[in-house]
Amino acid sequence: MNVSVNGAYIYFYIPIFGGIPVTQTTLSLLLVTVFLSITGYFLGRNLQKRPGKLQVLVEKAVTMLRTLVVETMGEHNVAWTPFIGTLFLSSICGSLISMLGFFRSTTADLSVTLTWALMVSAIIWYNSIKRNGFLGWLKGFTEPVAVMTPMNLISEVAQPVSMAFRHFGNVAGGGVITSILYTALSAASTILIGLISGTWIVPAVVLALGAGLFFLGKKRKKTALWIIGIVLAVLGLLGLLEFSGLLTGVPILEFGIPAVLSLYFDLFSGFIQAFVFSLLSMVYISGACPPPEETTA
Amino acid sequence: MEHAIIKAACAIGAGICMGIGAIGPGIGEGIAVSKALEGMARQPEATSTLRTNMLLGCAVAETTGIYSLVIAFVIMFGIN
Repeated sequence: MNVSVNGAYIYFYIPIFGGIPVTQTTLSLLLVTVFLSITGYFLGRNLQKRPGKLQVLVEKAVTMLRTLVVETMGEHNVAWTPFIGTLFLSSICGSLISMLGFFRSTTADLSVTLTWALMVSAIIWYNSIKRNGFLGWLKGFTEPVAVMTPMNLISEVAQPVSMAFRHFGNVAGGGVITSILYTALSAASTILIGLISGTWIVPAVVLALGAGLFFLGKKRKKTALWIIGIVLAVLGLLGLLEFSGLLTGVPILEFGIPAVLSLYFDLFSGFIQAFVFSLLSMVYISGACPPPEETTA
Repeated sequence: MEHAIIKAACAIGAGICMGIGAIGPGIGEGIAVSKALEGMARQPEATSTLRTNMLLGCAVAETTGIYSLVIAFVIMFGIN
């Protein structure tokens, strides 16, 4: 019973530059990009004065994003809204695409989150170089006192690394934990069925007990009772089938539990990580682009 | 034989790595949530801003925990 935990599966290599691997992540990244650009195009196509229902919804979302950017980065940085919105949406859709079953979430691959983090750092370096010149930027590292230079350099490197690893670790870690639990549950369900299918008597008794509880629960209108009845009846039936060899290895325990887990890992922590990533990028970028009147003073 | 020792060491290492790595974020997030709850109790109308900032603070505090999680996975599944 070994857990198969592996990185993105490589489909094929593009033969230029020594073979560029096209992996699952590339596929889902392409899908997310195409999906977002198509929806973006159709949502923004015919904007009327008197907006329809859909346009009101989209306007509400865009305004919320805009106020968030203005609150965090200040009025003068409002031009960053599209960038932050793209980062946020592609991160959410990237994490949630794995819930469609076949695809692997894009953010579960370090190359994606590290690229985004390096993009944000490049924006920061470009802006601070543009604002106070290359030497000014270098001098910035010895800011409070010269002895702080190594610390400033480390923190400059640590910024993108920590942002990339946080997002990647959460999404990928969630995926690994779900797959480990999935394997454990499949083993548990085979053990469970095997336990009761030693002889044909035990599953028959369990089946009878289940049926009895089911009718009792129905009559007494106690939902908990007849649910347990159903569970026992199904278990007994599977035991009988297992014993007779008709239908073996039915994974019953794996049915509901991983879905609840992926609800937390994929949905909740995917959303939180997307929000944290964009908010931190906003904070870092606004640090590198102060309000215009401040620079002239 | 060496392979078995390596696998055993990996398992122990990953366990310790994740165990110790979980102490810091656990305490940090506990403090953050308790302070946020105090704030919410004192000023209920600020609940929404407090909640978002609390969630963000917890997510950022979790970073070191996630580092140790990633390292534990690398140890467990990366080395064969």
